[in-house]
Amino acid sequence: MPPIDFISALGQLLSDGALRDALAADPGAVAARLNLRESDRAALVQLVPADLEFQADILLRKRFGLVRRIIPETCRSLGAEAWPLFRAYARHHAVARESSGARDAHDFCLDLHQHRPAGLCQAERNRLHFAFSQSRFALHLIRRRPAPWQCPRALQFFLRLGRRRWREMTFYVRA
Amino acid sequence: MQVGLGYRRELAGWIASRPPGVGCLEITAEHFFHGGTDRLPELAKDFNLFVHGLGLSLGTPGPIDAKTLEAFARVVRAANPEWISEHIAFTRTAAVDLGHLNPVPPTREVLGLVAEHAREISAHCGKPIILENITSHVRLTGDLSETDFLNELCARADCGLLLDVTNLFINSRNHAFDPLAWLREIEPRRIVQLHIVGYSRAGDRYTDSHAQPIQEEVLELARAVVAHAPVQAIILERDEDFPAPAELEKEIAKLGQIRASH
Repeated sequence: MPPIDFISALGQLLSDGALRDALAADPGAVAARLNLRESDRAALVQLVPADLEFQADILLRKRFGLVRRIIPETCRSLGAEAWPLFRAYARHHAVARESSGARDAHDFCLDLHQHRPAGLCQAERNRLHFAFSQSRFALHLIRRRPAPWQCPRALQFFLRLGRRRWREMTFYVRA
Repeated sequence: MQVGLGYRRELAGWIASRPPGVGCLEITAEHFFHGGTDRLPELAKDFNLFVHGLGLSLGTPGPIDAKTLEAFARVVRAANPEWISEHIAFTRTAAVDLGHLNPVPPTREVLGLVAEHAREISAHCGKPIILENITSHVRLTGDLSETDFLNELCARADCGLLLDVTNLFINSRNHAFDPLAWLREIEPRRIVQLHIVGYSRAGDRYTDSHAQPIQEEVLELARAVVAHAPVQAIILERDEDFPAPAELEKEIAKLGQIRASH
């Protein structure tokens, strides 16, 4: 693997919380692990870990802003826990190039499903799961925490119309 | 000097009413990548337009992303702006997409890279380009000071500077330097346009959430910039917590007063 430049190394550091932790402990080892160019090593060693963490947090806040728009019910249900849970997930999940906010929201839902399933909005999780699947259609029975005038159960139906086009229909089930 | 604001969907209704004091609009190219460019010629009838980019990532080593550049150029063609702008920053690398602006070190190597990318964008779009300073919580060092880097970058790229007054203020507070001394080191003729908005605080850090009204100390710095340089436009750059139209009109009026005082 050819040596990498400082900007590529900074990009990796800003997207990988574990790498930032390692830099704080031993910057020289991280420079070697990244195979950073010799001429850029001094600049990397001079980085202040707390500054780097703050800069990374700014990026995570931006990601969270996008994700919150895609899974608003889940974030509402998590309340004040939404940001720390997202931060804990995102600190170790970089967004790959050509990826999207929807993919990030999908991966966050997978993480929540493992660690905090009660906070997940089923309908949002199903939607993202279908969006990134190859399925032609899907049918889910969802339970909701409804307002008093709403039905507590619904059938959520997805139908794929093309590679990136699909329809969603929800049928509310009266008890 | 023209006074205006960043065009945002949330403000579209108010902007359509042709609010007093607003002579120009800055269009964020990425907001029109997936449609809506048909609105731009209409807006251009009432306002001077500028097109501003967020994601061309001038600091990323290697070629500019061709798809992003073409999408940017489509917006430029629709808006036909006086000039275009981008940030002196990187938002992605070959491996990761960081989704937002990050600082580049002030080195001669990076200067060459950013200048080459800026020239390429300007040539592709057929418009003059100006480059913007960003906030950074990481202090990067290189073989040039930040101000020498900016002056030389403008010379090498044959471009102007979009000086974000709020970013300068924030960096000066977070990194403990004198913004006026910084300003005096910038060649005045390079400063073409300003961005301004209120800063936010997160603990002992200053941040640019674009969600606050302009504070007096930021206005004071803007006055100093306008006294120092032949600024052609000043843009209020509000992105969140949009206030009532009357509040925005007051902010625009304050910017108008800066213009009137010079």
